[in-house]
Amino acid sequence: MPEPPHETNENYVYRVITPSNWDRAKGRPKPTAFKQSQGRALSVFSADRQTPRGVLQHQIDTWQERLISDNPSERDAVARNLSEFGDTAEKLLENGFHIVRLPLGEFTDRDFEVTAPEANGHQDARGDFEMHKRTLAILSEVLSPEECLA
Amino acid sequence: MPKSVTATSKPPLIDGPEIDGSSKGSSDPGKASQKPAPDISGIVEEIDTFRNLRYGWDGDQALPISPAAIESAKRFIRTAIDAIKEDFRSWHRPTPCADPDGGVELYWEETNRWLELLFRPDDPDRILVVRGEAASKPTKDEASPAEALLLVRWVLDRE
Repeated sequence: MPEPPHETNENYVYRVITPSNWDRAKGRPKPTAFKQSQGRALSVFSADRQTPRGVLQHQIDTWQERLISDNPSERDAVARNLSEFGDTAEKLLENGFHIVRLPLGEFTDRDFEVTAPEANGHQDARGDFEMHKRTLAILSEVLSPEECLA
Repeated sequence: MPKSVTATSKPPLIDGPEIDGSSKGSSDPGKASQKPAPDISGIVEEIDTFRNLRYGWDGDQALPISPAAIESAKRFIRTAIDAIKEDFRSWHRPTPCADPDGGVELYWEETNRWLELLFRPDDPDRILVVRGEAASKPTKDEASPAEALLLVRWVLDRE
C-alpha cells in the first residue's frame, strides 16, 4: 500500500526563504518570499531529487559562482551575502534562513507553469505571484533545522 | 467574494449596513476618547529598515527598496491610523514586507479577510491591491490611497 503523499517527497518542492522574507511573528514566510524580481521565475527544488541541505548548498554555490560575474552590483551583492550569512548550510540556518516544503500541485493548481526538474532538482515556476503569494506562504511547511541538515 | 475596487467603484462597507458598537466600537465620543491609542509601535521603524536592503537582499536579484515607496507606505500608515482610530475597537498591525521589485507591501491578515497593499517604486501613490475573504479566490486591482484606506476599514471590520 503506497504511503500517503504527506509522508513522501514525491510531488513536493522545497524553497529557500531568506531572513528578509521571514515573518518572525507568524513563524512562516512573508508573502513576498514567493515573488521574484522583474517578473523572473521562482526557484524551487524537487524534493524527490534534492535534499534541504542540498538546497542551502545550492544557494551558497550560486553566490560563489557569481563572485566572478561581469556585473559589479551582482559581485558586491553575493560577497555581502556570503559575508553576512556564511558559506555553509549550518551558518545559513543560524543566520535566519529557512527551508519550506510545498506540494507541487499548489503551484500547478493555480495555473503556474513549472519546468521539469534539472539534474540538481531545480525547477522554475512562473505564474501570477501577486495573486497567489500569500496562499503559498500560508501553505508552506517549515522544516526544522534538523530536517534541513539531515 | 469581495467586490472589485476601481477608481470609480467603492469597496464593501462604504454603502454597507451600519455596524453596531459590539463589532465596531462605540460612536459615543466620550467612550471613543477612552479607547487606547492604536498600536503602531515599530511599524514605521520597520519600514525604515528597508532602506538598508541593497541589491540582492533576497539572496538573488531583488532591487533596493525605493525611498519614495518607503515614504508613501509610512504616510499611508499614519493616515490610516488617524482615520480609523475613532471607528474601530482595535487596530491590528499590518506586516510590512519588502517587495523584490523595490516596493513596500503592507499586509493584514484577519480572521476571514486579508489585504495586501503594494506601494510600488515607480508610482507609489497608485497602490496594487490584492485581497480575499475566507476561501474565495483573491482579487487584484489598483487603488488610490483614499480607496486603499477604505479597504483597511474593510479588512479590520468584524462583521
